[in-house]
Amino acid sequence: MNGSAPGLVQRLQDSPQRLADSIRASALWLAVLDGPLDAREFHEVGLALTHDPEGVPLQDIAEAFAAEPMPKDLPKLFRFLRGQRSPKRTVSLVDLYIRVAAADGRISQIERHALIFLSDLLAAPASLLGERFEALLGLEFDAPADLSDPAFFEAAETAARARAARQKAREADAGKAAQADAERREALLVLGLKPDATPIAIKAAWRKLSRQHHPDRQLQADETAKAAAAERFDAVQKAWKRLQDDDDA
Amino acid sequence: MRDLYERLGLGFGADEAALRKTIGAAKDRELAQRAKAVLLDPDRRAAHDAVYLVARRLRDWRVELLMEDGAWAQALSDSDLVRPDLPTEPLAKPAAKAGAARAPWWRRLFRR
Repeated sequence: MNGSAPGLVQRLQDSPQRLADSIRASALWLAVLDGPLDAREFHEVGLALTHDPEGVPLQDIAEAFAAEPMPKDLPKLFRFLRGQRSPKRTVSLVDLYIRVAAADGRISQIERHALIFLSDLLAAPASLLGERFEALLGLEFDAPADLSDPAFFEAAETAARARAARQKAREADAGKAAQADAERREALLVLGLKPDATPIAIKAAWRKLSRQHHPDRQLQADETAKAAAAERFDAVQKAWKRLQDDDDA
Repeated sequence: MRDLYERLGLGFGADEAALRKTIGAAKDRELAQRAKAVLLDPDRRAAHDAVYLVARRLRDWRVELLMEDGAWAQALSDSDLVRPDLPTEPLAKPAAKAGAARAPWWRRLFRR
């Protein structure tokens, strides 16, 4: 196995499954860019394309990017992918990149930069990324934040302090912790989610259910249906607020 | 939205002494405040550097792959997606040697 990144790009070029391997490699590159590879991200890439025994093993690609996430000769890989683009393939690749970036439950600022880069690499219209993001995750795509602004850090630090204080309070009182856990599970149940739901899944479920049960969408319904929808809408908002207090979402 | 090192005219990851000196001498008050709040705090600086290191490399690759006219790059032209603006002043011409400028074209071509 060749572990160095320049060797990897060469291996991808020489692979009999060059296109499939290059697509896998670009998705894994996105996954490792903001830190160690998450097992869910690796799984998502593995699901995307059928592995061919003649191709470069996924594990080799992951190890090479873990050693050097941004090798200098990586543009060769991107140039090849750019040359292979087609309207249909562009949409499926943008979908793959979004799924991989979201697989660990969060979209980092680095992943936002990389998603925009990959979208432009495939010559996709600017609206495509937002549309596919909304379709797959039920969320709006936000452009990368301005990290030269101290307000960004102040907001993040305030949220982290509040989260730590809540955690400390829970640890101090076992009964309170059990109650908080039960409330959280109940809130997730209202949103139709499992206890291990990721922040992205929580936000997507809240948006979907809010739209579905919003009073403005019940204009044609009878009074009973309107009342039921309003009740459900309130329950969804309460569940969302409860989960936001935990900063899960 | 460009990274603070670039806006301060420093190399990426400049040391603290150089940062303090440049921030102290900066004429732009808002930029100095921002740089002080972000770059002189180790945690904030680490987050800033991690993101803008990748953003800079992606920007270089955009140039290399001729992607500067990409849809997102145009939409976010004031961001780190595209290379810094080209210098507004024309580049200075190298000083010509005396007599060389007056040499006829055939003499320059067949000098050897």
